[in-house]
Amino acid sequence: MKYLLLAFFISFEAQAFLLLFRNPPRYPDEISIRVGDSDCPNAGLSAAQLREFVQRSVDDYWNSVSTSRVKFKLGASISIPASSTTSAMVALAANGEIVVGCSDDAATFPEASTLAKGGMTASAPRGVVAINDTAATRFDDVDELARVSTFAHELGHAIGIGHSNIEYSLMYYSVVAGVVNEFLTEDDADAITYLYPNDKELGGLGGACGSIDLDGGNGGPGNFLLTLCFGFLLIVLAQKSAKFRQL
Amino acid sequence: MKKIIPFLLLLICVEVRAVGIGMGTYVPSFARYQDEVDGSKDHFQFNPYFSLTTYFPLFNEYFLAPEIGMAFHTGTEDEYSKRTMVFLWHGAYRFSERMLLRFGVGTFWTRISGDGEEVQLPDGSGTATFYAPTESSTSYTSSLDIGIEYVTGPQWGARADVFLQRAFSGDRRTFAYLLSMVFVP
Repeated sequence: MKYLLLAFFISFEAQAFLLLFRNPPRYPDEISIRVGDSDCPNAGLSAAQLREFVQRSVDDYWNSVSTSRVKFKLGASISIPASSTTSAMVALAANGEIVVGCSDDAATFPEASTLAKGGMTASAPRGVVAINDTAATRFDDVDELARVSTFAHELGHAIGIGHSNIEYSLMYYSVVAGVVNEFLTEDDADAITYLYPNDKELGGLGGACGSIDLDGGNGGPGNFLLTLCFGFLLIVLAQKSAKFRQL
Repeated sequence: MKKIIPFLLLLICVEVRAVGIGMGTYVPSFARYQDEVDGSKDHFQFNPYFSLTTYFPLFNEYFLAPEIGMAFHTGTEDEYSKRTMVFLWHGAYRFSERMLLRFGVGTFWTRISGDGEEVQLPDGSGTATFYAPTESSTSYTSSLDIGIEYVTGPQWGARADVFLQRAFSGDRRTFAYLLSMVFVP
């Protein structure tokens, strides 16, 4: 027991996800990503590779969180002028969409070290991810894992997640030598869980059995009926048990 | 209160054989998330877990063994906190003098809340203001469970439970586990 108490006082790595806004607009449960249909010559990406990297970034990172309901899904391609600013790109998105493409606009990327930019509008669920495709870009210098994780990082911004101060977090504010962002951290997962938690209906059978939402709420009538069935089952089992003991 | 109605229903309709008080650690995601700079994954955490567990005899060596518990997640900074409420709808089968096999389904309410603090962090070449969560958010997750309970003495037991969460989702399927001691007063 004393070891258990000792463990209580051991300090663990702190987590600290943050948000872009106090209350970011929420996307629907399925977020459509519109990927640009043009090559990004300076960044070393063909249109097909651009789409492939985006797909990997959602499969390997954001679509894997068990406590979140949101799902990123690639939609139809979109035509994005090469010199677009992030503001121009986000204007192409409808509500519930994120536009992903390249930009060779020097005002958008004044520094070669900025690999990409991502964000969302404060008033509506519309987001953007722009890859630095200027002549001086270093995007084609980084390895494949860093490219995929860059897309994932910027998609995090596109749904309203801010930076983290955990050095190995996907949402850390800088690319650090020696740090590999192969998976999400719990901090990243908490961020998307906070914004898009599983609701009761998606909680499945266990979620239904655990709750009776007498107010209606967001549990739905299916949950209520399932819980009643479970309560009935318990009573039957209890009566059987009592009869068994009498025998 | 309304969320524990089935639990109360159970308490009033059957004879309780024993009530135990549990304490241990709950690890929500086994080998799921990165916790080192080299990309290695998380295998153990200490998140204090406290529970009330009950044993209702059914027939032969079978019991109903529902449990309600709460896990307090360590490792979060002041900006936000996380805790998980746990309901376990378990059956138990005593297959030897000192060993019980536990099985059933579980429900996990993971609640994340924050103080809304403003934080300045680097952003590109400058700094930007970011915000901690301002309100509470609760995620509901269900699980398929299996576990072992070893009776170490007249009043003490040691338990290990494994929870398969989002079992039917290929992308999001996750293992969690619970290590605890149970004291029956």
